[in-house]
Amino acid sequence: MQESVQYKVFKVFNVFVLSLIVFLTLYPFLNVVAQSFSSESYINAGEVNIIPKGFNVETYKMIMSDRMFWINYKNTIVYTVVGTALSMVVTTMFAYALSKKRLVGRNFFIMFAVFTMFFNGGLIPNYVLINTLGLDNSMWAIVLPGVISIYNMLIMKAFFENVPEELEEAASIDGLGTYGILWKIILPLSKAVMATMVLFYAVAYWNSWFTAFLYLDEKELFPVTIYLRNMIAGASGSMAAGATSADNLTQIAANIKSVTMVLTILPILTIYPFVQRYFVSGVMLGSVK
Amino acid sequence: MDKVMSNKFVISLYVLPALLLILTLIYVPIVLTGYYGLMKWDGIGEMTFIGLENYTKLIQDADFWGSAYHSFLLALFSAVSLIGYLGISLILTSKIKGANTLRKIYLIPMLLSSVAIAQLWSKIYHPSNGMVNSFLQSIGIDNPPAWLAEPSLVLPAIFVAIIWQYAGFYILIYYAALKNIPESLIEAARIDGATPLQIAWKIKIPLIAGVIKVTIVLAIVGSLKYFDLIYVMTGGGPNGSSEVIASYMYQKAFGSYDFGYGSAIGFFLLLICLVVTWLIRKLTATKEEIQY
Repeated sequence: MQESVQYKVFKVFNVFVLSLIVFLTLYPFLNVVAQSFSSESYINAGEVNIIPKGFNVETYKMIMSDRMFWINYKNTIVYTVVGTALSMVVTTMFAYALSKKRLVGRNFFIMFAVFTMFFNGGLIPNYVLINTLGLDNSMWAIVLPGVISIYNMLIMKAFFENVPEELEEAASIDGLGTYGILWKIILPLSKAVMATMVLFYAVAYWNSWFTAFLYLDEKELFPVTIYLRNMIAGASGSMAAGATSADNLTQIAANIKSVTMVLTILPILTIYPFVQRYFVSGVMLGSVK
Repeated sequence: MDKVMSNKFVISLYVLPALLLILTLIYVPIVLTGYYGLMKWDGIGEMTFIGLENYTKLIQDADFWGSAYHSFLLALFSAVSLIGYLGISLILTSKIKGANTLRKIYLIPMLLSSVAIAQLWSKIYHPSNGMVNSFLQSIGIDNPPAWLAEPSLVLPAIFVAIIWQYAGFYILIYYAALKNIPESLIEAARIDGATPLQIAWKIKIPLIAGVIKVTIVLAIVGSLKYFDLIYVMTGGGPNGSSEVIASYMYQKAFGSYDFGYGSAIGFFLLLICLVVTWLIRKLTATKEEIQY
């Protein structure tokens, strides 16, 4: 096939745009990594780009020897693991039931759920609710609000709908009950969507900070995102934040913030390359409708 | 034969946990907001019924309408930026080498916490050593602005950060939808002599119209409720110039302990979202769904 000059120009333009976006996406991030390994004076002079200047790992040592950082880090891990596990159980069961066209009241259940994707009561009643239930200052204040994401449920439902019905009927004849069918037939066929969902939920829990900010007062319960937020708040001094060990430092150095950021996002970025290959197939089948 | 999912007891075991959670965590609060909105309440003490007083106050509250205007700008901006995401996805799916790798990279910001993103962008906008101003100085602009402290610049500056946060998400959705279009359709059009632009405009976009509609609603309603990045970066400041509806509501409830008024704002926001969604559905309604 021959290509016109115009088409070639168009192609070059495309490559340029796509590369520019890659640069814009990655540069801020690489800059933070570079700053985390640089010395303060170079950062303040605005001289650090992607390559660290005045190489230093002292700040890493300092943050990693802060006991509170590790307590908060451990909290984040616990909230993420418990939350994701619970979310997966609830979402899988709900999505599986809704994927069956003969389910009585199926359309109502779907409407009931989809409505909440767009509309909610906002934070005040949620705040009152969590406090009334006595869940404030506990793990459940963090885990429960994020336990079911309708967006994730719809993706999963669409995936289950594509599993041939005959497989289940055959399994049923072989004497498997509904749980057996779900566990032994459906789930092994749904690894792509499961991996995607686990990543989506885990990322949401790992990154959540606002629920913790609202419901937790004891710093032993804080997730690491709050540790990070209080650093920013402490540094700008404009907002009264809950006291953390970070507040003891009157001037929070840019370097320290970078280090905390890198340590906070590292686990997610480490897992991402291994899970992302399922992304398109997972989301594609779900192509929300 | 006992058909899968025909036993009532089993069905309820599958469906009930999720339904109960959705009911308690979303529907009960919606009713509560409506209820609290009719009260005078500081969040701790006694509630007093005051009818629609909170709402008459709301209508006259210039600060509220200021924040509503900012939310509206954000919604408009998010909706328009969808065109860009769609364009990028169209380019990505047009047999570009390494499209897959690019898509993976674009998604990275979505993996970061709003707190981390706020942190990242506060650094970028830092008046003296931030990336933006260092660049501006290097090309000879001597007095670059303090982006987040300048009332006229703070909102656009935050919008850029929000774009950075969400672009990958929408690109992934469009990319997945476009990949779903059967190759044979595109091939047939190409043989008939359609240009890439015509294929995009006449075939690809109409085929993913359903997905586009959903993203428009997601982007607009999501923007109207948007809160967290703005709250961490500026707290609504300087002087309310980056205040949005949700941050204003937060400030009223947890700053001035006016839970009744805050709830009225929340309920009003919910109504706006409902009306907007209904409008979008009306405006984008197509006569028939395209099948392929």
